[in-house]
Amino acid sequence: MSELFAELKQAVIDGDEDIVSESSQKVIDQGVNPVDAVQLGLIKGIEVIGEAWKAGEAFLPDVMMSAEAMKVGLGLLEPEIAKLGMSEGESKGKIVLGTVEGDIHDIGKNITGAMFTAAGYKVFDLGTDIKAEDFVVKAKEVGADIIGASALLTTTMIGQKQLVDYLKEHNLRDQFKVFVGGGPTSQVWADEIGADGWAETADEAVELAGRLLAK
Amino acid sequence: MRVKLIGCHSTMNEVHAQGLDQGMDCEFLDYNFHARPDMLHDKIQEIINESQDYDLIILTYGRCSNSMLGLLSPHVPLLFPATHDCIGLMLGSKARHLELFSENSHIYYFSQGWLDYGRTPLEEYYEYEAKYGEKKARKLIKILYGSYQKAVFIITPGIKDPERYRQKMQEIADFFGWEVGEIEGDISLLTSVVKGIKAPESIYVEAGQVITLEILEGGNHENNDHSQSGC
Repeated sequence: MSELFAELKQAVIDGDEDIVSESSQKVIDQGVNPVDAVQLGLIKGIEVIGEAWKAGEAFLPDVMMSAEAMKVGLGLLEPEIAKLGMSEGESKGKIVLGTVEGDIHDIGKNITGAMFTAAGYKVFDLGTDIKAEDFVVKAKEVGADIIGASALLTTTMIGQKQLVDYLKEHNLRDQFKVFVGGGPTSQVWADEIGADGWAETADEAVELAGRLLAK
Repeated sequence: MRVKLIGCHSTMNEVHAQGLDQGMDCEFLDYNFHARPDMLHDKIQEIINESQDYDLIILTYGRCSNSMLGLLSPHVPLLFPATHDCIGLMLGSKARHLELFSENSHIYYFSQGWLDYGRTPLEEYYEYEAKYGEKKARKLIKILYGSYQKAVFIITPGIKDPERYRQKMQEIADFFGWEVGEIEGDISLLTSVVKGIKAPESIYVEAGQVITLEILEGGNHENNDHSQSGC
């Protein structure tokens, strides 16, 4: 059994979706505890790559491939966990991510998602062109700690303000931390619209999340 | 009047083609700085510091992921375009860029400078392929560029061999399965700025003033005759 977990761990480190997929299927077929497979396999692997990134030993594509491989494994194992009525175990936190309405830029958002995954967070990536309401629906559904909204244009930045306003209007502002980011955004902008956090880079966003959630 | 120009390779062909670089000291920086705004910021600050014996420092950089934020030129004023990036600068204004964006946000724009000196998405793919193999490289590139649907070439003055650029862009578009198109550029803003004119949509920063977000968000100046006479 531990061999299977080691396989999952290594496949995540290698960013190899195929092996993650095969090994996850073996977990299911052999009736191995899927929570253990996630905690002792997938997560152990992503921890290694997260540390390597921090130490400057892994490159951005490495982290992104590992995060993708992890996603494939979770895609197979999570339904099993739900079927068995088990809990997936603790993550550092849950973050709902997306690019705001009218904006399709997703490079920065995807990198941020990979970095949060590598840092041990559970990431729910909604994709691009996301309405304020849809961020909030997902955040409520999964019990998110953070909503992260990306905007790459001065014209679409307003979507970040709409998200904060939507939360206020629905008396939900205290339930989630709101992070904003993207090229034209800044700390000044984040303060102006009443967001909880802004970061220049994905790494800084992860650090900020750690500080804010620890409070 | 002594003028120093700090430019990006993205605008070099246009500046040369117009003969705008006559009578000033020009320094063009590597295109790939655009992916590292922190390093671009440091590099520009370094050159500004070394250029404090000029009368005006002109930059062909736009906001470029806020690389310009926090720059300080103690004794020499700065002048640069108020566009978001070089796409807006080649299209002529932030307004036109945004209008085109709202019509179709799935366009990847190419300019001659980008095709000559930049790291195109296809070159990026080949780098990944060499390192990670085809399957992973395709996956990575899809994560990064999967949202785009069309490649559009911005036609600007001074393109000596347009067919070569068309072919290069077509090759990229074919790889990604994008449609291709062309659009007429407008370098009047670039020309004005390089001539030292405080045109609308340019930003003029007095000596000793740190570039703040408010300054970057401004950029509407009255026209005046603050043009450089060559040096």
